[in-house]
Amino acid sequence: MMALLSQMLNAVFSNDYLANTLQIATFLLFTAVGVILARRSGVFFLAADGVLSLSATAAFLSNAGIRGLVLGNAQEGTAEYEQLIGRANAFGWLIGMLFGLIVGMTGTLILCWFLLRAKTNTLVTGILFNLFAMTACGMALHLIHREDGLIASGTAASFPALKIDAVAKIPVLGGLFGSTNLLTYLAVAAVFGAFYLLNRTGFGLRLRAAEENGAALIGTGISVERTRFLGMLFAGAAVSLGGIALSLASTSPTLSVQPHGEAYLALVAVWACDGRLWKSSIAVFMLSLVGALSVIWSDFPIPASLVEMLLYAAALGGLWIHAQNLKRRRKRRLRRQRRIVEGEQPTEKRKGRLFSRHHSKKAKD
Amino acid sequence: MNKVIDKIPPRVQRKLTAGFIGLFVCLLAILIFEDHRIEAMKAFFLTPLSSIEEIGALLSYLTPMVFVALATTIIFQCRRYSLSMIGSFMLSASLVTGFLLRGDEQPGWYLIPAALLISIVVGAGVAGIPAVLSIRRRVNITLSSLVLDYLILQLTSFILQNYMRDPSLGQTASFEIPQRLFLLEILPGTGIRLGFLFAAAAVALLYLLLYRGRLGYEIRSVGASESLAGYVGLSYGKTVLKAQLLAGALAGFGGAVEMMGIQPRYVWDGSFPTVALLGILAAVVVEYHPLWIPVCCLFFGYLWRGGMALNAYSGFPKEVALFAAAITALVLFALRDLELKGASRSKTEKASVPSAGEPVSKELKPEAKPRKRRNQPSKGKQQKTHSAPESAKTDAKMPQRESQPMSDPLEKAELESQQNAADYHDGGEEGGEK
Repeated sequence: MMALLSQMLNAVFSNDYLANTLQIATFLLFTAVGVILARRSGVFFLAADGVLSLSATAAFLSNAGIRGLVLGNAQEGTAEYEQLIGRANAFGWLIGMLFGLIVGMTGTLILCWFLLRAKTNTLVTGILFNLFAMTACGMALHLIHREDGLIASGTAASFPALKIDAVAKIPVLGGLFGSTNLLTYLAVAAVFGAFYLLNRTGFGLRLRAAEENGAALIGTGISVERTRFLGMLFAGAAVSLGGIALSLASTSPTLSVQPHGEAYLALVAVWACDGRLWKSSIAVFMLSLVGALSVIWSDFPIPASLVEMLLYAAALGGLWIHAQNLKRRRKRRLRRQRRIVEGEQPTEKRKGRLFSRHHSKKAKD
Repeated sequence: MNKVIDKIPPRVQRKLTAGFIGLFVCLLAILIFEDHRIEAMKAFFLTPLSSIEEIGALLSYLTPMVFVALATTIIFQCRRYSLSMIGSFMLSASLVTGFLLRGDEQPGWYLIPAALLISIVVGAGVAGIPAVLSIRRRVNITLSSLVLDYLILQLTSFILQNYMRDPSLGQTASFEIPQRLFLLEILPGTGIRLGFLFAAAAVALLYLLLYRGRLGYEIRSVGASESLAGYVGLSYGKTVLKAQLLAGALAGFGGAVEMMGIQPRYVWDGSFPTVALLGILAAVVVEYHPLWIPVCCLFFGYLWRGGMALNAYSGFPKEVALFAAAITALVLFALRDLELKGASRSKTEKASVPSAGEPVSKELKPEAKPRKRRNQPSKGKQQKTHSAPESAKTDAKMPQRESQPMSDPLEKAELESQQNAADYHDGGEEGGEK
């Protein structure tokens, strides 16, 4: 028992664990960015799960198809194979990415029509869309492999890893960052990109206005629907990239029809952080720390489902902690207000501003 | 022909069209992807109706679906979009299987009612968790129930693999529940069991409860507008909790009915049961009306049995039924919108001067529309034909209705809540955002 525990701990303190965490964090981060952008467009992006699975399946299948087409009949180990494999892989992931984006964006467009144009109920449409996407992906996979829904690994090319020699020489982290996938860097860039888009551009301002105060935006002569639609397009692109990362970022890409609810985890992370970008990114990383456990402990004699349960339990716990914090904050505010009313405490100076209104009034007096 | 079509109300027309499109999608998939088309189509379309046994199987297979659909109806009428019925269904099915397999030596008169009771308690318990979180802590109920579903998915597959698995089978499935523990067969030879009667009774009772009973009125008024329900003295939290617990109990009961006679092995290892998902879709398609649920379930059950027959024949993916059902529901949503658009357009055409410049009107339309509608005085026909607010609940905006006079406070409140687009913050985020 003790030996098993120490082995499990050893597995956690390994490079492998961090690498797996990063891999899971990649697609979760993309999805979370997409969900935040959608939230800013005023849409509860429940259908992110559908978009994610659609783009993942499309990316994987097109990747495998193109790769098989380029390789032709070349057998593994022959000179011809060695010659072709590089080109096949490059074509594979490029086309996979292209198709993943196209299919994911198409799904988002359909969803946008329902949500923004037809104005159907966000949640019910999201649920329907997810069911539709789930079954469509399952059908596609089962039509290709009629027996079971799992395609053997090695049929699709994974996304290339970025190797930086200078980083690879660093003792501990070198092993990790020397072979991190390109998409992981892209995901981190997407977070910064989303921050820039939302907070530093005119479009971001309009998007936030569309969510918070549509009437003001109409007053300036800008269509709310169009702004929200554009925001949703960005969101769809981010989630589609998440789908591509989901199916292609690992070193041996596989795709299974079993539902795991990845996008729901990202949604939980965002909703437990009130839609804050940086907080959500950290929450996503913490979720993927838990999620990676099921990968590295897969060889140990512990039931895999129980370890996977941890992930969902962590998500539920996150939601609960968030609610608890909110409650505490509300109570504290009420208590402070009561003290102010009862005259025990002078009215508060506003933090973070040098010259608050309260301050300047005093100066005038 | 046209006269006949005109007699059918547009709501039903839409549903029929959507259903036909769903069937058409199945047909198309089979035509494209199957080699022996005629045989495959025979297997899909005719097998479910080919014999008395098959029809009996179809009817008994749709029983759990009806239960899940009823659960969905209650929850969605209350407008707290929880998806805990999947979790309720799975966990109660799993625990009932475990209970019946473990207590094999006990007499049947004790086991069967105890199993049914367990299913009800477990189902209500599962549905209660997100409900309580939502009411007490204002956690988003959709998200928490979804995550709980996935947690239960892993939990049930853990129970299945470690405590119930039958090693002699190729696929992962539990031991078979002995036949003496099945529910009573009411029509010998067809496989229709007592669960069918239970389902029929549940449909009738739920209709009475929702449209004739006090609790149903409470549920619907909370669904229409939380604040109005508060003003008239209803406790929002209590009503939501009651609705969720009732729904969970129904879904859990459906799980027990499924295990006791219809599907004697627990087979869902790592995937959601199709029957539960079809039940949700059925409730959405009939716009949460209990009396229409059996009809829609019959259609979906037919598709499902057909898909299974086709799967046995040629290995065609079983998902085709769920796919067609999802398409049906989505198409229905789209049709409803087109119809509403068409109605409002014809009204505005009559009202407005036709010589308005084209490009200008195009530019102005999307922005001017919502304002115009809201301030529009009621004109045209002053009839008030509709009585129940249950129809077309899922529409976010209904221009048809807004132009009509509103005397029913419930209806008025419903429209208001729709205009506020409260769905985005569903689960009560607004309380703590600042």
